[in-house]
Amino acid sequence: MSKETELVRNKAKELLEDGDVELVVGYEEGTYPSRTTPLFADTLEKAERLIWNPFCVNSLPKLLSKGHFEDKLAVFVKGCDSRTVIRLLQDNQLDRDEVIVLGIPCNGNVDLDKIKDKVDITTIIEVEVTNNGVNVKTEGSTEELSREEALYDKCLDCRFPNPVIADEVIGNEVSELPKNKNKDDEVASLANKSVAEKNEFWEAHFERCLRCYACRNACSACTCRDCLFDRDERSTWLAKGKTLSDNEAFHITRAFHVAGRCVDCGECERVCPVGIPVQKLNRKISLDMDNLFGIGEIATSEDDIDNPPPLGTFLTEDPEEFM
Amino acid sequence: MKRLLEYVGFEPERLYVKWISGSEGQKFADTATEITENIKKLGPNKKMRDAQ
Repeated sequence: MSKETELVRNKAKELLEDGDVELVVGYEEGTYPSRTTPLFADTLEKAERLIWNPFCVNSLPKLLSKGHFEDKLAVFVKGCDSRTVIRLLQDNQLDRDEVIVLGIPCNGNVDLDKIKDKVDITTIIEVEVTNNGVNVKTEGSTEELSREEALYDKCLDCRFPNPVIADEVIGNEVSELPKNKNKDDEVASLANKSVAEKNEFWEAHFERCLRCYACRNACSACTCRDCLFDRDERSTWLAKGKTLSDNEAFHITRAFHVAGRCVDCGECERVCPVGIPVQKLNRKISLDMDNLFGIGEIATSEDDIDNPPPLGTFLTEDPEEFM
Repeated sequence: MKRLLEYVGFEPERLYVKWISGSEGQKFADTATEITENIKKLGPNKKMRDAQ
């Protein structure tokens, strides 16, 4: 059992025993040690199943958005997930008094799809992620992989390894992570391409969209109880049909609905079963928002909860490009 | 929105957002003429037309 797992279990048991919370939301082992799945622990026996390792990737706070739970609860968050907490608090999807945020600094999450050709993922025993690389220990051997080879793309450009909001931080703070990738440069180079090239790039991706709505369901800013894409197909011009232009309308609309509120957690892109670079859309808008309204990086501290999103407010000094 | 549509591959010349007050008849007419001329130069839009 790793040190982190022990800390996570002890903390959960302590909170449940003292009656501070009714429910602790964390991760448990899935089919094999390299798979994890969310665990809702309401008893001490269940809390014994909690784990913490570099495979704990799903963002948990979204599961707690309004209407799902009545009880006071505690949730484990990484740096990226902690920004989701800020998003949900600002959108009135969580009550600050009803949730205890347990932050755990993170060095990066391991992408099983990336390493499955290099190691047998069913035999993985332990994984260690450091600034220099990723050591994967299996039953037979130990593989040393680079961060680019083993981690999720979103982790290669991580700017928030430590929780930005937490009632308690478990484990040691992570100092600055190496930047193995620059998402913003990728967005800028795509934006500078010709109209035809951009069209070709996005059509090739949107064409493959299955309209499974995994991106929407994982999104920390997508919390409408009645999503406009769930309406009857015939009653609206936003059809559910799976044609290129309907898919395109879906992605453009969704991107704009989270404009100025996207916390750049990268969950949309991670959960996409066909690998559409959804984050390239959202990141473009975030950069435009900063460019137009000078908002910088949003959801970086608890103080940001009181800053209304730029498209949800009006200031006389707002830019007016259309005048 | 205009920036986003350009990013996904629409021609920038097709996209206009303009504020025109109800009393600015001439500005409205000029804008409509300008848009029509520019669009005519571009020809029909092919993007997001596969459903029809």
